[in-house]
Amino acid sequence: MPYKALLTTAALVAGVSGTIWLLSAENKGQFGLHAPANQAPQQPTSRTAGDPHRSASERDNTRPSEPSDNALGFMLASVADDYQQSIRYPDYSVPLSAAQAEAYQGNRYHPVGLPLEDDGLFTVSLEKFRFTRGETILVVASLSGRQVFGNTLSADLETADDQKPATSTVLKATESAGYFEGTLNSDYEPGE
Amino acid sequence: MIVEAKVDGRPVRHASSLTIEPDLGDFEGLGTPYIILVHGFMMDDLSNPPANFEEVQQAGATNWQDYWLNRSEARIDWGSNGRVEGEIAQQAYQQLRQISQQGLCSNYCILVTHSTGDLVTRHILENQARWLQADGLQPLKILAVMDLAGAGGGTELADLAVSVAYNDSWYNWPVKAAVKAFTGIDPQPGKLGVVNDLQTNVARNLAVNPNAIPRLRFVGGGSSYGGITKPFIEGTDDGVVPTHSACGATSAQGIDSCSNSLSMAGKVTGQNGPSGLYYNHYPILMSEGANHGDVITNQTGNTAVPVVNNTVLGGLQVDFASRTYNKRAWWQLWGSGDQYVEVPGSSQTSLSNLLYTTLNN
Repeated sequence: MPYKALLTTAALVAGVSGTIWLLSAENKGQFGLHAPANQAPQQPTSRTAGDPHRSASERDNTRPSEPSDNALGFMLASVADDYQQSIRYPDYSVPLSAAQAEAYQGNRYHPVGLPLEDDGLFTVSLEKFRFTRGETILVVASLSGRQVFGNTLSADLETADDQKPATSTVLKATESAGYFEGTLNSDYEPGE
Repeated sequence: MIVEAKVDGRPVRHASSLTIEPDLGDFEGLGTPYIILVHGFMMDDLSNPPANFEEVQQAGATNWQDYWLNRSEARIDWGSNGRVEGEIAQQAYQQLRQISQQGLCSNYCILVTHSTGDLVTRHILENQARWLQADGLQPLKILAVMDLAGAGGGTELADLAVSVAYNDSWYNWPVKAAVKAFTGIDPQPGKLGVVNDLQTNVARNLAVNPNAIPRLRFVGGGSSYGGITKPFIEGTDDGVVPTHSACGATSAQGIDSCSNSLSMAGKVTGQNGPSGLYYNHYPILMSEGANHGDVITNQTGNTAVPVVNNTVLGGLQVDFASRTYNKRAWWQLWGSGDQYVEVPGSSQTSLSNLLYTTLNN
């Protein structure tokens, strides 16, 4: 029995201490859900540190300094470094980060969602944005929410200017619940 | 030059050489650069399309009159009932010709854009050298572009507008209300003009090439149209343009800040920021309280947060003063509190004035 009382007291003290720490302004841990503030610069970083042709003093001058307590200052310096690096290259050949390279592929389609009643969402996705005449257009749609739907959807292809219908197809339910897909023939007069 | 004098009654001529150069005006440095304005989407052009280009220009002047009109040397006006690669490009081209012929940008100029002006300018930057050289004119020398609430990455409101145009019997009235607030009309297919280009997928597939001219981004986070549009825009927004677009993020994925480590309110903390930024796109200031229209007006009372500071971009010095201070949240009982960053005195001036005065110092 004395041991049980001792354990209870210890647990109580630990609980109170933990609560005090959580409420303290010194607690900047964001409960482990966020990255530290001085992390994750956004632009591609300098790639010249390993240049063997530069002198030791140059390397010392350009060596990244320790991140200061001011996370903003560290980030700004990082951005400035990036621009200094980028203007060294001609327009037709510039270094890109992975995210930039993906963005500049120039033919991407980000799924577009249409909000429905009761928090439902009607999302359509395509493989890409531009299709060459004759290519098959794969259309994938998903529906979520509390509405009642049939088990098929249709997709119509028409011109943007005068809404002249070209072709249509039925999107059939896939094995994944709520997802539908179908294909359209793009062998029509080029345009939007 | 010959100077003649009479010495002892006889003419004596002193000859020396000098040159006379054409008057190119005073070089006032980059502190007072020539400024060219490119406005944003104007909803009135959809409900009441301009009858001629004079009406387009009149609307352009009215759009900027609150702050920038008297601080600029030229404008590129365009009708929002057109498309970026169509009628808008033609209108821009005619004005680019005039600017080149006047030599306004022979000693560099700065473009200031608002909203969709970001997207229009991207198309201009990609093509202006080719367009003008084909006419035997000098391309414009553009030092940098200041994008205020840039819509170059599109907005989800445009995605909805196009869908609503094809759903005349659809009953989701909050979506319809948001779209009507944004476009000013009950959308119909074929009558959305530049809103078609503002769809996220269209905007992000238009004029997508890396460009050497730095794009300096100024981002608002306030509320427009009474807040009815906010629920339909991914991540944070200024009531019209999502933060992913205004910052220049490489993806239309919703984000909350231009920085991974600084909130739009200036709190130094982990954020859902962009995974990447377009090449040469640099977020400079964020202002959580400034809405889409505030960024080009005299609206004060909104604290600005520097994202890039003391940075020389293409010869342009950006030197907003900044400071840090600590603020303790209500639930934090003791300790130093959270760290915030702001531009001192920014709430006493407008975002545009802050930008303009910095450019001129």
